[in-house]
This record gives sequence, C-alpha cells and structure tokens, in this order.
Amino acid sequence: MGESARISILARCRHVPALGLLMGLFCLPMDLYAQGRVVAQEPLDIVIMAASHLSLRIGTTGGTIDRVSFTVAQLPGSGAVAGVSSGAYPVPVRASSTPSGATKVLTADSSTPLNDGFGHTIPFTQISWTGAGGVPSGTFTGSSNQQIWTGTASLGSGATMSFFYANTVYVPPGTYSGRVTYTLSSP
Amino acid sequence: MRRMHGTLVFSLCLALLFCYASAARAESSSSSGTPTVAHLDFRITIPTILYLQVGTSGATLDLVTFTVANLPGTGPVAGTSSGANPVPVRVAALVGAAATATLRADSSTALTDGASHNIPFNQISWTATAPFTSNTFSGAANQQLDQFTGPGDHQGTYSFSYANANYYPTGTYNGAVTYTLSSP
Amino acid sequence: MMRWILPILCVCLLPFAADAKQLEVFPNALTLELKPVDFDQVESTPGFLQIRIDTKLLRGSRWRVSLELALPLTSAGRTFRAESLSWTAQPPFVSRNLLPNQRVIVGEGPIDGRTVEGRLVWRAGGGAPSAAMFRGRVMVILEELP
Repeated sequence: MGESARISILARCRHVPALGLLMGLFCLPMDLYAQGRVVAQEPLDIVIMAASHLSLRIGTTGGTIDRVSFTVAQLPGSGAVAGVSSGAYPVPVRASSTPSGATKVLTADSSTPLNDGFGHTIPFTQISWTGAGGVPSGTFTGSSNQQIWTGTASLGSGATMSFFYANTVYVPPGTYSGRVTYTLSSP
Repeated sequence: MRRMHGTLVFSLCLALLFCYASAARAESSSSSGTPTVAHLDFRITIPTILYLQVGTSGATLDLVTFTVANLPGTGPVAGTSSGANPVPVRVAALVGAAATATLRADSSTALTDGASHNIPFNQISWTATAPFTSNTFSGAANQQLDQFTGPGDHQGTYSFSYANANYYPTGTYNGAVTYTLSSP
Repeated sequence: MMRWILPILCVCLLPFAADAKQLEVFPNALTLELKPVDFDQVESTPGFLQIRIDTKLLRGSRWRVSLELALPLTSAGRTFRAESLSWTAQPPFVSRNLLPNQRVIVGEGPIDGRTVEGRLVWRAGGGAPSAAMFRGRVMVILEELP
C-alpha cells in the first residue's frame, strides 16, 4: 500500500458522496498510510434488481395538463395558425424506460374531435406538429393509437413538439376544446 | 360598378369556457411495467368573420363598361370589366350554424352623364353562377340579392348586361353600386 | 441438564463460527431493488451489512477494513456503475461510495482487545439502469497495521 495508498486515499476524498460523513478522517495524515497486512477477507455478493418501468411526460413538470391554443384571425384557407402553450413551448416530450435500452413506442389517441360544447366539432386531422430532438413531425390521424415515435434510446431534453392548426374548415365561431392521450408502452 | 371589398372582422370570441370534467389531471405519469399515459389539451378559438368580394381583390374598384353600338330595342349589351371577366363574387362567412349572411345591393343612385341625364340601374341585370342568383338591379337602397345560412365559403361570377331598351341622350353615363354583406 | 445446554449454546454461536474469526460479515449477499424516483432517476431499497472485528485476535496497533470490487456488477455485457453503490455508517465506519478500480477504506480503529461491530446501510442509485439485473462481488478486507 504505502505511497500509492496515500495518493489513492487523497483522490478518494473528492469522491465521497453527499451522504458521506467523516470525510475529514481520511483527508488528514494518519497512521493508516502505513503498510497493512491482510489478515482476513470475506466475500459479499451483490445483486441489483430493476423492475421494468416506463416514464412519460408530455408538457411541463407538475400536476396540470398543458393546453396548446390556436387563435384564428383569418378565413379558413389563409394558412396554418401556430399554437401557443399554457406551459413550456415547444411542448417538451420525455420518455424513458428501465432497462434503459428497452424498445419503447409512443402512440397518440386523437379519436375524439375538438368540440364547442354545442355539438360542433373540428377533427384532430386539422392539427399537425413539427417534432425536434428525436420526435418525428406529423399530423393527427384521428385514430386511437397513432404511432408518434419508437426507439430504444430515451427522449430527453430537446425532444419537443410545436403544433399548427390547418384552418381549412368552415365551422361556427366559438371555442373548441379537445384532449389527446399519449401512451408509452414497451412491447 | 363599385366593388366593395366588404371584409367585416368581428374579433368577438364567443368565450365559451369549456371545462373538461376529467379524473386524470396529471400531464406526467409513470408506472411500472404497464403502458404509461399522459395528456395534452388543445383549444381552438374561431371568431366571427364576414368576407365579401365583388370584382378583383385589392383596393382598386373594377369598372364594368357597356358600349352601345345599336339602337335601343335591338338587344342587350354585354358589359366588360376592367378587372377579371366575368366578375368574381365571393361571400365567406364564419358565422353560427343557424346565422344568416345576407348580400344586398344599393343601386339607388342612377347612372348620370354629369349633365343631369340619368339612366336608372334597373336597366342593368346580371347572370350569376351558383350559388349566386341572377337578377336585375331594382334601384332600391337595400335590394337583397342572396342569403346564406351557416358557415361557408361561396364563390361565383356575375356577367352584366345593359338592356338598351330606352332612348337616352348620347353620352357617357357613370354610376356605382355598393354591395353589403351583413349578419344580424 | 448440561446435555441440553450444550447444543443450545452451539446453535446460538453458529452465526459467529465456533472457531472465533477476526472478521465476520453478515449476510454474505445483498439484494438491492431499484425503484423509480423522479423522472429518469432510480433509488434502491436498503441493504444491511453487519461487520464484526474481534481485535483480540489481531496483532499490531490498528485494524483497517476496506472494500474492493472483485467482480464488477454486470449483466450480459452491461455494467452497473460501481460509484452508484454507496453506504451510510456510524463511527468507526464511514459513509462512502464504491469505486471500480480501487480499494475503499470503510473503517479503522485501535487494536485494543475489544470487539468492534458496525452496520453499513447500502443503497444503489443513479440513472435508469441498462438491464433488469446485475450481479457482482465485493471483498471485505481486514488488515492489521503495525
């Protein structure tokens, strides 16, 4: 041990985790730098188990559901309207799994059209998005399980969606609301 | 001919607060082993918009000209516009499903030669393509031409003709019609 | 009567074998279960390790216990970072984390004839692991210092 032990112990001082106590014990010069004689060794087998797990987040952290809004100012056919969000925008998407390399599939259910509460509807096929950070761009199909993304890596910071309303349909004026349900699964 | 680009934009957003009564409030969720779910809400606000176009779009007014070459009684004379021919007409409305959008014309001021000779507008008629109606100007201030119900975009054309049924002093007679689109 | 006492005594002393050992470690295997904590972070259930040193059986002035990763925590080519394994302890043992290529000192004290006992509470943490189960081995090493 001797000299090499001293260097390695000093290096280890910087490795002591926040949980660690008595860091100072090994940062002070002490007899322990002296050479020791191994008199006994016991094995300790370690098993680390990780149950399968999926994590998904669409939007900002917190308990509320983000809302993407479009305010139409022109006649249908004048061009797409860009969305804004009640939360972070573009909308962040985070998806991860345990084990980290498992195949993950993100699908969306946009089968319930937006409606104004008076029986008038706008189909979700009018809404599309530009994806970033690994999320492909697309348009809602109105199906209950449209594949949005699949991969073995995770979607981390930088994975986002920016939404657009096509504004190509003539509908009665009003406020139309709808909800998309995203599902992350590991087949 | 006066083309009125009657674009009346009411930025009155019928504020219907549509509150979803939903059990699942969390936008982020994680679960073990089973598929994991998160939601995203969307809201689209559609205002009331009325749009009217008679003639070419833009600020310039189109001029429909009838050049009479024969004696009255020999048949109508077709008009030619300084803009697109036939004259384009468009009524677009974002209005309630049961709301009406009414197209009217004010042809109450007769065409005049500037020397107190007039030709009333009832000498001018038009052939329209569907969904617009062919008719003759009545000379009224608020002659209803067409009425549409509910949201929609209606496009067609007008082809004008001058009856040339009466004798008027020689000259150039000018006049203008104001078209109005309104929804109560 | 003595006949009945003797077997009972032997059974009681069994965990710490009849021929007294300088170093005892119990249990000799730990299983830590990772649970998700926040997005993309995991934390495990605790594992409790008892260490006992009988300094009567030691020569020299001080004893020292260290840990060394003998078999890395692996699973079909994937490795669990040694640094993500840590423990908390009370004096004369210290709270540390494991390192992959170095012996880590866990505790030390005087050889004064006393029996020293301590408990290390092990935990694993870090980012989402790359496999469902990792196995490895740590050696608990007792040294005498002159």
